[in-house]
Amino acid sequence: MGKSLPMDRVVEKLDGRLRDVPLGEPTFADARYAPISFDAGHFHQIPEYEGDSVLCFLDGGNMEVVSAPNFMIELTRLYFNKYRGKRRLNPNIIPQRIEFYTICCARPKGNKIIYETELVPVKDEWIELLPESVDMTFNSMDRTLMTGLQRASIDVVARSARVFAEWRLAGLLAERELEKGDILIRDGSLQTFVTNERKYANYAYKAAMENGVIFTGLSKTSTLFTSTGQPLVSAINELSATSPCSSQAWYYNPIVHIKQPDHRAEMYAVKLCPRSSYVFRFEILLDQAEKLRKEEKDLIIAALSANSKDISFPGYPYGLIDVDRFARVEMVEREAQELQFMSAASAKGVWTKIQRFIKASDAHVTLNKI
Amino acid sequence: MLMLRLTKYESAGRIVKMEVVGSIVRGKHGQIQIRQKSDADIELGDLLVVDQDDGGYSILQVYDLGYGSQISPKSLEMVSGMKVEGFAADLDFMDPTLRNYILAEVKAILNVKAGNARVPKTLPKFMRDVRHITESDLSFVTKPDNPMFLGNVRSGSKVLDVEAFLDGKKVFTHHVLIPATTGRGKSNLVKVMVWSILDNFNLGILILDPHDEYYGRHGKGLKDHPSSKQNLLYYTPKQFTGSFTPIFNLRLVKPWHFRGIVAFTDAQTEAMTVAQNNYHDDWLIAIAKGRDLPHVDPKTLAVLQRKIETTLGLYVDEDGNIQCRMQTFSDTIGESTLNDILNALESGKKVIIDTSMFTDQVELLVGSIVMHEILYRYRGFKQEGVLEEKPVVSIIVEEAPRVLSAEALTSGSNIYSDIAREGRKFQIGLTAITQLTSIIPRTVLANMNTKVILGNELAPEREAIINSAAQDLKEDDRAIASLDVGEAIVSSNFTKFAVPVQIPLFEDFIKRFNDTKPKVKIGFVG
Amino acid sequence: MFRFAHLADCHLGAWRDAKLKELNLEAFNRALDLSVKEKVNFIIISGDLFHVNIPDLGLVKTVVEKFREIREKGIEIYMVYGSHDYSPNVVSIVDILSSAGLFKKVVQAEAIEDHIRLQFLCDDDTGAKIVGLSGRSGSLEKEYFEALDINSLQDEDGFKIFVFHSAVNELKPISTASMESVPLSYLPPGFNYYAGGHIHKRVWENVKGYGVIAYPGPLFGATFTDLEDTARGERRGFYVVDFDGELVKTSKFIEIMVSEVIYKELDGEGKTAKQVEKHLLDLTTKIDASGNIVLIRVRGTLSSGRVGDIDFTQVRDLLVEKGATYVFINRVALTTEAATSVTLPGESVEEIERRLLNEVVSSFKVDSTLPPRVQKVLKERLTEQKGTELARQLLSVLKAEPLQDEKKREFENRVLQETLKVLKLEELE
Repeated sequence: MGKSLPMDRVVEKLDGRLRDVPLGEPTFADARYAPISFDAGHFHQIPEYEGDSVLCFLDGGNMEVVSAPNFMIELTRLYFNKYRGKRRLNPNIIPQRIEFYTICCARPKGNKIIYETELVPVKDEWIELLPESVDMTFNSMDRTLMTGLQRASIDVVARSARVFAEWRLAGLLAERELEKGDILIRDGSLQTFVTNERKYANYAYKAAMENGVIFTGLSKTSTLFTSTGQPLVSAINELSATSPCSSQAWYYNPIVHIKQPDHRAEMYAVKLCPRSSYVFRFEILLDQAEKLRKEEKDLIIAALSANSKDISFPGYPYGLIDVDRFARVEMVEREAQELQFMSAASAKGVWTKIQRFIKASDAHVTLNKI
Repeated sequence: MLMLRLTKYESAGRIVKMEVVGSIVRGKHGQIQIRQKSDADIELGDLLVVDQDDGGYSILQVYDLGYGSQISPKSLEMVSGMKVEGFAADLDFMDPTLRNYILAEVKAILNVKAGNARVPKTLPKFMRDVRHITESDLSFVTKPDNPMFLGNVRSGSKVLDVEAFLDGKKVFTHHVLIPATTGRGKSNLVKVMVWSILDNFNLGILILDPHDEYYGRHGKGLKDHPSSKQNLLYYTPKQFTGSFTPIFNLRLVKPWHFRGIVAFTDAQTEAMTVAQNNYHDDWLIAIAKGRDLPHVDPKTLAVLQRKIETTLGLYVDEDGNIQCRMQTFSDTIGESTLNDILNALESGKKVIIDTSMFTDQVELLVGSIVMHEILYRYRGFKQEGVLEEKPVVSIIVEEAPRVLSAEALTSGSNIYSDIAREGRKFQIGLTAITQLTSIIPRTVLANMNTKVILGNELAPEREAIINSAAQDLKEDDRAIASLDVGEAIVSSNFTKFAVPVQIPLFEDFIKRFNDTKPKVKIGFVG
Repeated sequence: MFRFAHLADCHLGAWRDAKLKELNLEAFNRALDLSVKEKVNFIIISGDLFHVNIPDLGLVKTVVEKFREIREKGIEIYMVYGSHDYSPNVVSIVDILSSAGLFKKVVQAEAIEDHIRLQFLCDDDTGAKIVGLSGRSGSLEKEYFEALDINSLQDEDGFKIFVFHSAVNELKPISTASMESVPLSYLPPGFNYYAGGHIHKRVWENVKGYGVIAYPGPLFGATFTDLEDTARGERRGFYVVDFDGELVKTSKFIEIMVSEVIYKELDGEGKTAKQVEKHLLDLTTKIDASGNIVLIRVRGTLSSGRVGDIDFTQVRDLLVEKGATYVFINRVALTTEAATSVTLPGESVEEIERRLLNEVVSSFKVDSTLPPRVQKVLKERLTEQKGTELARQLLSVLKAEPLQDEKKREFENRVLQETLKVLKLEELE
């Protein structure tokens, strides 16, 4: 027998560690989450949808244009769509795509370093659609931004502008673009993490509740676990084999009671298409979910399931595929943006000054080119 | 269901309502890609228009169509497999029209502004909407002098109400090639063309008609033209009232008329010269009758005699008179046939010679006789300085490779290739019809400045046509291959672009000229 | 076996010169005498018996007497009009002679809508069936040929003769290439003999699908071109044809030579007037003019001197002294460098007239301000061949001379009426 390759040894070791374990039970580190034991009876078949509610999906994307240890410029793009059944609808009031630059700069304040953020929309009239800059001034040692004990990096701060803008846009959609009974789905959960983020989430929730728009979120990925270390979502998927609706589209609920003020959601696991092998975490705004009857929740999920029958990715809402494509800022745009920045800086005669700061952190770029 | 998206586009004060059929998405000069609107129909050969900000517009032509998709090819194949195999009954494409579409490859052929059309040197604006061409977009096309009708301008398979004409004088003197495979409508085209110029006295046309299909002995033909009595001469060996008999006196035939048509050895050629020196105009009669030729080997004379007899169908009867099996040559009559034909051509009339009963060689020889003499006359006119007052003369020859192919020209030129090469100087042209363009030398093809291209399935033929066209047709290979019967592309030095046309069916075309006079009782005197 | 004589293009009265006129008449008389001698059953004259439609009455008298002589011998004469001896506008002498029973016009036509049906005349003696079409000036008989009801002609049995006065494209000699003609296909097929006239050359051709097509040519000639052709060897005379009930059996050409014609050409190109004169005088010494017609054609461009400096009269007188019957020196094609002259390739008066008129007519443009209907009629009648023909007819009418004892007012009125007939003004109303 020949000498085994390094990768073979890696696989062996991993296999040794990933043992067949029982499913366990849903588990959460935060005491404000009260998990509910697994029960095959919590699986519900998603009915065929025959309604005509409007589904509105939104997402954002961002890309670094220029960065230095003490400043960053990002381009952010927000995009939403509307579907009634399979038919795409045109937006009525809100621009379908909104783009803006985030300028984040580090500044000393006393003995601290704070990060100040300013937003520059691509079109001036969009400024009122964006979050306020004052809400994006952070202490560089803000724990909601730090990784470990390290000072929060400026890019994390810059990216928070995108998150805040998504909440803001969601609120505006619920307020101005959608009607009662329409369903808003954001990409991601309804949990907020960063300082001041809750303010914008609450604005969006308030707008949704006042206008009768159902506020939901769908996460592509989940880092929740069971008590045996299994990913929660895949454990539920495994559990579904014991359910009578395992071969159908189904949802699983209840999973957990959440009393965390930064996470106002009722959580579901959903398999939106019988043919799909994907299960996603789905959340409905708790304030709304508590008032909905089961049939109404069924309808909401059924509507989402009806949008998840695109043959290119069965089981994932097509609306989210679409917003992901149009909100994404491609890498190919980065060079053009960079050049634009350099050109504008040169024209203003400030490039030399700015370049000094960039050099402090771009050695790896130069290294990569060698 | 056709959904019209009408876009009002303000362009330098001109508000244009367009039925949008697509939009420019990428490409480069000569290879622009347009994404087709889902409910639009863009065809190969379609003419599209994109408006410009300065009030002008560009005309684009579609030369290829392909599928485009936002989904990767592998996913598409998988999806297709699922559907075909019945695995995805409840699944489908969301936003089908946005994600799967047709891309049209187009080239810009003209930029038009204020009625002036130019070859484009710039690209149209990116992401600009395009629309189908309309008649008003072609308002810059004017009717030339000496108009020869070819058909209506065509966009794809749609026929526009814009007639396409060429200047007959220019076109014929610079020679015409009509390449097409069988059944594509060559004969119909020629009939339509000649009909449209039948009463134009600036154009004399000689047609060698090997299938007797142009006059209309049975059915509609050029004889039905209102001016046919005055302007059309029909020569046929078949009995037909009003026709002339194509019988040529042997004294009209000269040794050089055989050049490139019948091959003679050096000895035979020498013998012909001796015959001419001794018998002058009777040289051919002398050979046919086997008369003595001084210093000519009797064997050579015998072989020459046989060759002449076989070629011309001659024989000597028991009374010692020369007879012709094809009734085409005679030593007693037909003295003025050639003169009549030449005078007719010189008067701008049209002459059809029914060669369906002739052998190939006799057909070409007859053409050679006429064209040699017309060339001789026109050389004289040029020397006298009156050439420009004379009509242009063109000969229409089918199966042109018989006289224009490299193989035909290996042993030397013939009158047809001479005309192709230098006839222009004397206002004499050649219109060659062929299925095999590829075997005609490029030097000859290059002189044929107008090509009326009909459908052709053979790739080498299309390549030869494209390589010698007046415009850049390298993207039109597919379009040429897909030309239907009656569809053509006119590529000429005298058109601003390669014009796609629909040639009307001759029988339909002539209806507009219906000149049925009521039967009038003849007043007879004498 | 039966026999007939076929004559054509006698052009009696053609010449101005009395001697030539006389020779022409002599040829005619000789032809008829020879026909009698050949014991023909009938005589066919294929048009242009006279040179004009109303010839000199003295000449007419002579012809009448000759015809009567022939008729009294039991020989029938069949005739068609030619392009010269007929006019659609006035009664021609041929009509009068025909009415007098001196000969029979074979054209008996019935116009049925757009067709013409010809009625056969049957010769009592031989049973030959004869039919024909007359010639018209400018070959206007073409439209009659086009309209012929061929089927009715083909259906007829027996020995059939078609008499006509037209050139046929396929048969006309090269020297007559510019002559108006009809295509062979216009002749009704299936006749045994086609008795042609109009071409002043001898043609005898047995054409497949037809039969014998023959032109005897003139007996003497009506133009100097004819005489030049005679000098070059063209035989003058008429055909005598033997036939039975079905076919032409034999034929022969009876030559008539009333006078020999000598023809000489002199090239004056680059010579002085004096040199040309000297050459001409030298030529007279070499010509055996006695009893002959002498024709000399001088052409070229003189290097110096004028055409008028050459004493043609002296040349002519010398030849007459030597016994020439008639002398004609054609110097139309002789010019000087300085002179601007119109080149007229035609030689005969008619040809020159026709060409000049063609040139004038071709430059005529209809006034576009006129009403469209009038423009259309004017275009149809005053342009191209019809315009030329109308001009010729008018010229012919207007150059008529008063008849004997015709008063001036009567002459004027006659000319006016004939002019109005030619113009057909009533069609414009």
